[in-house]
Amino acid sequence: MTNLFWEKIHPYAVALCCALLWYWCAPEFPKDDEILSASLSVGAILIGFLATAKSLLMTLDTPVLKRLSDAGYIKDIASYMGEGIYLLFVFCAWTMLGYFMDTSWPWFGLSWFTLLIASTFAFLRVTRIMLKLFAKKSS
Amino acid sequence: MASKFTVHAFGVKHYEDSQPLVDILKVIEKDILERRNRSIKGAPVRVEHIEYDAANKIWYLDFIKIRDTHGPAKGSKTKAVEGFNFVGDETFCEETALIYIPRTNHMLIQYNHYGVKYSVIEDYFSQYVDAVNNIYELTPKYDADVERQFEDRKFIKKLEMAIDPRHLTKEDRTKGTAVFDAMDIGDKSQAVHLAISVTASRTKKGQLHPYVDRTVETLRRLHLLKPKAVSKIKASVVSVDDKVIILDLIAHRLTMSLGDIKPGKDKRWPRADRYRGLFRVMTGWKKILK
Repeated sequence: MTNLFWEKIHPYAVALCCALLWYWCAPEFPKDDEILSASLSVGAILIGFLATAKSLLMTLDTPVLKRLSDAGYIKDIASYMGEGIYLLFVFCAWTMLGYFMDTSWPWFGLSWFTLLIASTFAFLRVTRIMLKLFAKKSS
Repeated sequence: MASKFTVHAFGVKHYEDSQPLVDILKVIEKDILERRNRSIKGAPVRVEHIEYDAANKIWYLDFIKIRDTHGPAKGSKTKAVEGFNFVGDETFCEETALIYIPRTNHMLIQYNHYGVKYSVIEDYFSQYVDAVNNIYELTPKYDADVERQFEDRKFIKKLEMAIDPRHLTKEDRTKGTAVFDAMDIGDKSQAVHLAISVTASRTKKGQLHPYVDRTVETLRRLHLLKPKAVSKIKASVVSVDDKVIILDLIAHRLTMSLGDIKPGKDKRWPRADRYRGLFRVMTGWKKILK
């Protein structure tokens, strides 16, 4: 397995492992709505961050970004950003659904947790790359 | 004095999972003009004209690079200069014609200092179809005379080379280097640039060990794979008639200039003439482009 392949699939792989852990431990999803509203807020903030990062990336013209672009990596960065945004969207939508359905249904908690982990790791992947891009701005 | 119409030759390489380039050309041919626009390295570029010559089994393409900066004026020795009257979003466009020979996988590209360069053409084809991960690479072909002089050498007296052992290329991506790690490759702060000069003794018969010949071959292969990784290979060779010749094994690119292509009334080289020029060059290089 190459590093690039792992970089591409790790949010899903980690999410799958965590889903199995959740299924095995079968914890009870909190009954009140607070966790849903907190999740929605965090999800919305992170989507906003990724959208800003995407606009920033489009205006960046640094040697490291040029090298990445020449080597064909720009498609990967764009796809990581896209995945981050879409996963967070699905996470927010699923969380919103929690207001209208019985959250004690075991599959709700399992799906919510899986989406949470996948979107978190997808977000962290973009953050790490963006921070490194800024750190290496002039090199 | 009119400038000469210069043509460079390139080999076309595509990575394993990429579509044949001809498939991309067929897609471009079907697309209307506006849909062919792409922004490559920050500049708007498109294939303005594309045509398949079934008789000779070659493709003719004419690229344009839309200049979004200032441009020249028109005038003469007796007439004051004035600007061009552009309508709407019109601006200056730089034209670059090329011929693609699918049979031998070669591309002959017109040299236009302000037009699209081969690296832009590579990216244009690689990025044209979004859904497929295509990677095409153009590798320059070298002057046959230099090749012959190098092949006919008695021995090498001096070898100068400059290598950047870690230059990020498309190959790194194909091999599976992650984006996070790729950012460190070719980083100025971590870059290693080696410049080596190996010289034989000053005596008349002083020559470098034949092992150096293998080094040259290895470096040339590396240069074809990663042009930016090897920036210099210069060899001083002794020819069969005992003359010392300095050969630049990278800079002597396969190039041909034609002086008889005349600009039209609008001071542009007509597309048909540029295509004809490229075809003539292709005919002249028939033995080289195998």
